[in-house]
Amino acid sequence: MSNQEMLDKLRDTIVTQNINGCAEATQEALDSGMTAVEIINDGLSVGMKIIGDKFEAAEVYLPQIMMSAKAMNAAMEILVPVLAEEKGADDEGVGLAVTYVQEGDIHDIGHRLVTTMLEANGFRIIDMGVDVPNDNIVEEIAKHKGKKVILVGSALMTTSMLGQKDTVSMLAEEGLRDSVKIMFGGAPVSDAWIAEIGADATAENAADAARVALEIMK
Amino acid sequence: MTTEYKLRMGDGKRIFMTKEQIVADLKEGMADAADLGSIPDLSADEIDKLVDIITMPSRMVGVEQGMEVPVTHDIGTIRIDGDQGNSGVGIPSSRLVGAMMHERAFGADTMELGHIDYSYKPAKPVIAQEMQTMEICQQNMIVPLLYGAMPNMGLYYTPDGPFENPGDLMKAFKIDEARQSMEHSAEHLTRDIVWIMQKMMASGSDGVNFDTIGAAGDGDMYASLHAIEALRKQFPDIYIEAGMAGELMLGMHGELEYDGTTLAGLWPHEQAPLVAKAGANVFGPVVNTNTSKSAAWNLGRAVTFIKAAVEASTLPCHVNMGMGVGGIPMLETPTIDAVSRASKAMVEIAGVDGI
Repeated sequence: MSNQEMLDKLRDTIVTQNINGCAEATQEALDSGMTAVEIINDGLSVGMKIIGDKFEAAEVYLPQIMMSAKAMNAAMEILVPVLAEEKGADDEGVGLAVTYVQEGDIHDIGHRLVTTMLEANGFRIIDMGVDVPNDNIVEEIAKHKGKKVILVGSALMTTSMLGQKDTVSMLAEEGLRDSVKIMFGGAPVSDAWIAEIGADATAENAADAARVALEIMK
Repeated sequence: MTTEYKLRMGDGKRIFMTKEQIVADLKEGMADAADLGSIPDLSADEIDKLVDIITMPSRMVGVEQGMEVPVTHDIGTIRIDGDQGNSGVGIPSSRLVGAMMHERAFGADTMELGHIDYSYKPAKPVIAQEMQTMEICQQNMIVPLLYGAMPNMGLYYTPDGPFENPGDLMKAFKIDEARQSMEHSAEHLTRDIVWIMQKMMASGSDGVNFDTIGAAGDGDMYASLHAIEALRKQFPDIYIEAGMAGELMLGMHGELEYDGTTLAGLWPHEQAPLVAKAGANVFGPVVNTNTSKSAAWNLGRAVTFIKAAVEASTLPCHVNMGMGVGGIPMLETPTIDAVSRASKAMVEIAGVDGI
């Protein structure tokens, strides 16, 4: 099998949500001498882009995109140790994503999906869970000062969304604002809200969130 | 100074817009619908007509003479007695009084008996009371009186029902199990709706209203279409009204089909043929209101979607008009300026058969 055929197979296992097949194809590609970076960038990510576009076009739905993400995760479990070897132990990769749901809010399907998509796209993850007070967020970000960190917060309700403004101002007060990129999502979050509170970005959905996160971490 | 017209935002806030701004928002809303649904734009004449309707000086507007349409009420019996949680006005009265007030005072052309919980499942334990009330209402009323409730498949999931909640299962990436839970719930929902309507038809009901089909996603629609099909077979003359929950059928399952068509992702004009195929008499399409956009944007979008649904439907279309749907702002008691303008636009431009 040529390298291109191998990459096409990797892409297709993501698009068809073939979880076991994705892990097998990943191992096969590694055994044939491809690097982990090639496998991710030219095979798996292409598949995730296709499935993300289909989700945005309402051609596939939540269950399908979650299964694609699961397939990607199965591949990443094999690839993460290889990546560390390829890049060296000190390489931070695309960065660390600290994900959480705002205080007063326990809606976590979107949060979990975004977390999975970020992980599938190479971020190391600290998932702080739901109903997280701003004090805990500031404390967590402070631990990673000086590293490549993105804070990814979710709020489904307008009432909990308001807490995102305090998150940004508290990080600024603690002198941490410049050491972290901040993304917020959830049904009520808009571009205008992101601009008003001084965050960095939002995204339309989970697939878009991974794309935006990679973009602002460049 | 440029003339400004009074409009509302989708959340009901009063705003002022120039004619140019109104036209721009109408076209933007229309384009959004046309893009999402792959449906035609409105014509220039139709946009002009929408502008005329929006900028009419009267606080309340009405359709042109000869263009009057039937008005069908859902939940109406509870609207008088229920509190704000039931979109009601909290005036103590029986459901019979509520139904008769709608028939004799408010001019409703068809009416519906609904239970205060307003879903099919909770009507099961009180079916004897529902049957008796239906019989008494039928003895006192002339207009067609349906039994109505929400399919509301969410009530079949834990903690409200016997099947594990697909939301919890999906969070744990148990996708197959989540889908099985939806399929089992759909079977039970179909069975319950049919059983309830067997009882209500035995009590003299003129028919059934499926209110908010698809609220729990494509499984909800799957169950409802199968219930419609079963009821049509058992009661050839039953009047079936199939009203939708939202504009887009959400793919919670993603792969359920009816008559070879995947239900997930269907827009109103694509839902209509399936509702007809199942055996309904009337289709109730829905377009949701965006609270962050103006009434002009929302109305341009809603009329574009509904016009396409009316053209695609072999059944009469009675569009859902109320808080947060049909271009009407999301207010518990929608304002008459917005309701009457949106209704006039739906009748005169989208060509709906009823509201």
